[in-house]
Order: sequence, then structure tokens, then C-alpha cells
Amino acid sequence: MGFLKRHQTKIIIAILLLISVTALSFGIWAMWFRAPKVLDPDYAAKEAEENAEQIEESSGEKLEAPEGGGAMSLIYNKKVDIDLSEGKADFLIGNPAESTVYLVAEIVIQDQVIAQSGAIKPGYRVTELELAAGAKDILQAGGYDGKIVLYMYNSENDERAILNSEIIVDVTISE
Amino acid sequence: MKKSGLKTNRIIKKKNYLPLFMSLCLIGTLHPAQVQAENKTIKNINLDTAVLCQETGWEKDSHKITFGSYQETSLNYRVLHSDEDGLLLDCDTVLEIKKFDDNSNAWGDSSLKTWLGTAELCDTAEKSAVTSDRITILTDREAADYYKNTDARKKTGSSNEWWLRTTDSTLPDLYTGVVSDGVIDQYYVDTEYVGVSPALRLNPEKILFVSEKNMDKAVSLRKPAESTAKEWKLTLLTDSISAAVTEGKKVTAAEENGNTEITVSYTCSGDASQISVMLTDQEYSQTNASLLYYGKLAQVTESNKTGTAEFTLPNGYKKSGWGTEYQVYLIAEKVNGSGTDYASAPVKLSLSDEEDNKEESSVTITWQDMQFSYSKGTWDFKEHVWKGGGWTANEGCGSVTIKNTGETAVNAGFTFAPEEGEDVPEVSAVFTEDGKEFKNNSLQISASQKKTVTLGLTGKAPADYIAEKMKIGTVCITLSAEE
Repeated sequence: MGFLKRHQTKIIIAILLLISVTALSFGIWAMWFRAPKVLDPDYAAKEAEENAEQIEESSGEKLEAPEGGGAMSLIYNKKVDIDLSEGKADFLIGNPAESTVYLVAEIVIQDQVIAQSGAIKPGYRVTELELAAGAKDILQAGGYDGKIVLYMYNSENDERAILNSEIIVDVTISE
Repeated sequence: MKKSGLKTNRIIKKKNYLPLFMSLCLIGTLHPAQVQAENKTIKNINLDTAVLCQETGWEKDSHKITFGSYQETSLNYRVLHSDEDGLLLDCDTVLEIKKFDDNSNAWGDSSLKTWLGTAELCDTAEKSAVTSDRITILTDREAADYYKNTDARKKTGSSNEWWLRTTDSTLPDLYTGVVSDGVIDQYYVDTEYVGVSPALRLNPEKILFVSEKNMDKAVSLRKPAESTAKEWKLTLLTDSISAAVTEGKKVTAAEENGNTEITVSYTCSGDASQISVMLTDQEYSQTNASLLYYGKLAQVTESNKTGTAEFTLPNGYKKSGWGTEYQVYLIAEKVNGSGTDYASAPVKLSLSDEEDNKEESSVTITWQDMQFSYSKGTWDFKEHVWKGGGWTANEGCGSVTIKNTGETAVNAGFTFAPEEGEDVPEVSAVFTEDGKEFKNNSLQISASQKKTVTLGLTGKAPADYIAEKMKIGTVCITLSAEE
């Protein structure tokens, strides 16, 4: 019996050791190797996008938005250039002053969010964004089909609109 | 010796005075024919195999192609002629001494034909490029027409004499062949010292390149060099290898230090050993297409069949001419030293249209509130079910208007993403314009045009559903370039 008990104890120790090694491996993977993920903004961005520039030619006259709805004037192009060495994405999203909403833009490649803006207020545009943390590790030079996802928020009460928009873009990544 | 002394059916090559006339023209004047001759310069790698054919007939120092093997020795074939029936090749040596047959001069039933049908003279992939999958022997007509002289017809190997297929046999026990001095003559069919020298026609559509036998294909993109080589090999197209631009990626160009750097992400399948790129002056499959540049982009291994490669557009080649003034192709190749190489069908590359993409687009999107109400309908007392219920948009709700304020047309696609959750009723969306559904939920909106789309919801809520205000989904508008 003594022998059997010792044997059982060894098995339990081995199983516990295996579980510990697995947990440790998972922890290392999660900390260092897991693809970075930028969460979608469920709530309005608090900070205005620091790279935003004022659009000089905006008239400032607001579009007529139906009650309970919204109105957005949007300027964009279909090209995103990413320079991995600088860690920046060049693109264009403009939200002229006529809009009743402000925007948060995400650049998405193959379901990975690689850059996210702060709030782009009416009357402002963004042409450059810093890449999200870790994005450089998963990107390589080349051309990609990508999209810019736009989330809209009511300028008066920060409520997120029931509607969002995507712009299909060509993404070119260089090192 | 049964060798025939009968010369009754000897075929005499007709004299062709055209070469003499052409030569006189070349020597005497700058006749336009001179320009034409210079255009047929042979490069170390060519799309057109016909460049190896000599109009005046094959002679001793004319071109040979390595193709297939016999008893583990590579075979060289003389390049005799090219026409709509294919590229005619005649083996450079006599492989085996064989009787034509024991007693008949009928080719179809001859023992020689049977032997050719069973002899392993090339691999399966090579054989697929042979017209009718058939390796045969030269006919007496072909031997007469496509050799320049009797000296050129001489062969060595197992014998100096070799069988031809008789096209016009009058005596049942005789068959044609080439005697040791290159003259076409007749033999008794059971002659035991005449050998077999195979001939075949290759389908030009199965041939991508003919290149110098010892050409190094592991070179960066470069212009094919002029060649004086006489020994060549083929690159055959095969379905067992494929190449493609990696899905979701585009071919892009970037200007660096005055050069145009092209980046392409590739994927290949099969047992390819390298990814290559070629530039041609027109579609590569066109009869007169010329290879402008060729080079290796990347090494491919069994475990690494995808990657990203770069090459520089040659001087004088502009992005604007891509696809019009010249074509660019991606190829996966299996390079086999001096033996036959294999290649995937070339994939024509298109350059991502950056200039169009840099144009600014602009739209305005206005949307109503998106509130809907659900009605269970009326209770049917007979069938004990709710009837006529469903979703209706509240007054002043449910529509989206898009106005294209830019200068180019845009496509607007509409999707509905239902909210997830146990309490959320299952619904699906229907988008309509003027009460009608539209194809693929996508509308093209021209410059200055405005379109209004209305959202409708379908689906039944559970019988115990109690209406309460909740979010049941999100509408997404996808803007893309005009298709």
C-alpha cells in the first residue's frame, strides 16, 4: 500500500507540474506573443485627436439632421500609407464643420485594428496616426486590402449613433 | 546484306532558291529583309521557340533542345521546324537497333511503333507537351524538307542508319530510312542494322520559354542577352504548379532614389523552387510577344511558399505604361538544372491604382432615428396563433440619405449587424430604395447624386416577448470606389 500511495503522489505531482508549465507558457504567450488587439470604442473618445488639423474651407453651417438621427459630412481618400520605420499611417479623414457628429476612426487590416484615432470633431481632419502598440510586430511590407471604420457620436450628448460607416481602402506598407 | 540498291523511290530535296536570293539582297543593298532578319535575334531566354528554327533547314551547327532521357541519359533533339502543328524535334542520336517489322511495312501495326509506344523517353509532364501524346519517327517528307543537306541528316549512336516513316510506299516489303551518308533510301522492313531515332512535335502552347541549356535562372530582373548558344532547354507550363498574389494584398510601387520599387506578396503551390517575374511587350501568349525582362524574385521551399518580394522597374519603364506599354507576370517555376524546367501559368500583375486612390472623395450622410416597434398581430382563436404581426418603423424613422458631394462615383453598401444577447429578438434587415430591394444591398451614387435608402426589419419575436426599448442592431454603410 505504501508503494501505491507514493506512486499516486508522484502522479499528482507530475500532473500539477504539467498544469503549472502550461499556465506559465500561456502567460508568456499572452504577455509577449499574442497579436495586439485594440478594442473598438464602445464609448465616446474623451480626448480630441492630437493630430487633427482644422479644415479651413468648412462653412460651419450645420447640416439639417432629422430628430433623433444625425448628419455627417465626410471627406476621405481610398489610400492608406504606412511607414513601419516611423510607426505612422498617412491617410485622410475629414469631418467638416457641417457635421452634427464627431468621429472616431480605426484603420483595420485583416480584422486587426492597427491604428485608432481620438475624437475628430466637426471642422477637423486627420492625415496622420500613430500605429497601435504592437502593430509593427504583425505587419510586413506590401499592399493590403483594408478599411477605415468610422464610429459616429452625437456632438451634443456624446451618444454613439446607431449607424457607422466603413471606407474600403488600399493599404501600402513600407519598411 | 539486304540493304536496298533500289533508288527508285529516293526522295530528292527540292532546291530552294529563296536563301540565295535573300543573300544577294543582303549583300547588295539595305533591303528591308535585313531589318526583318535582325529582329529575329536569339536571346538567352525566349518566349518564341520558332527562333531556333532555321528557314534553310537544319544543319550540323544548328540548334538542339535537351528533352527527356533514355536509359538515364539526357536526349538532345534537333529543332527542325515550327508551324501550326507544333515544334518538330528530331532526336540527335540513334537509340537502338530495331527492325521495322518482320514482314509488313504498315506503320500502324509495326513492331517499331509498338516499341516507341512503350519506351520511356520522357517523363509524364514532358509527355503532356507532346502533341497527341505520341512520340514517333520522322517522315521521309520531313527528313527531306527540314534538313539542309544529306550531311546534316547523319546521326551516330547505336547505328548510323535510321528509320523514317514512309509516306508513299509502293512495295510491301520496303520501308524508308536514312543511310549512313545521310541519303534517304529504302530498306527491307526486317533489316537488322537500322536503328530508331525518335521524333516528336511539341505543343507551343505548353512551352513558356526556351532558354540556354546552362542558363542560370537565379538572377535578378534583367534584359535577356543575345545568345550564340546551340544547346537549349524548355520551360513547360504545368497545372501542378501555381502562383498568385497573396489574397487581400496588392502589388504596389514606391519611388525611391529615382527608382520605382515594386512590392509583391506571392503565394505558390506545387513543387516550385523559385518565384520569377517577367516583363513582356504584350500578352505573353500572343504569337509575336517578346520577353523584355526576366528574373528571379525569391527562392521557394516546401515549407515556405508565401512571402513578399521586391524588384526595381528597369530604367525607362514607367508606372503609367504598366499594363499598356508592357505587361508584368508572376511565375512559379521548378528549375531543374540542364533538364526541362516547369512553370505555372503566368499571372498578370496589376499595379494598385494609387493616383485614383489619392483623389479626395466626399459624401454627406443623414439618417433618421432608427426606432422600430414590434406588434404580435391579432390572435387567431381557431388556430391559436398570432397573425399579421411584425416590425414597423416608427413615424419619421428608418431612412438614410447619402449625397455624393465629390467628383467621382462611389458605391454605398448597406449591412445590418444584429445585436447579440439572449433577450434580443432575432431580426434581419431589408434595405429598399423607392420601395424596391436593390442588388447586393449596394448602390452606385454618381457625382452630385443623392439616394435615400429605407431600412425594414423582418423576423418574429418569441411568443412570450415583452416589448421594451432596446438596441437590436447597427446599420453599417460601406463606401468604396465605383466597381
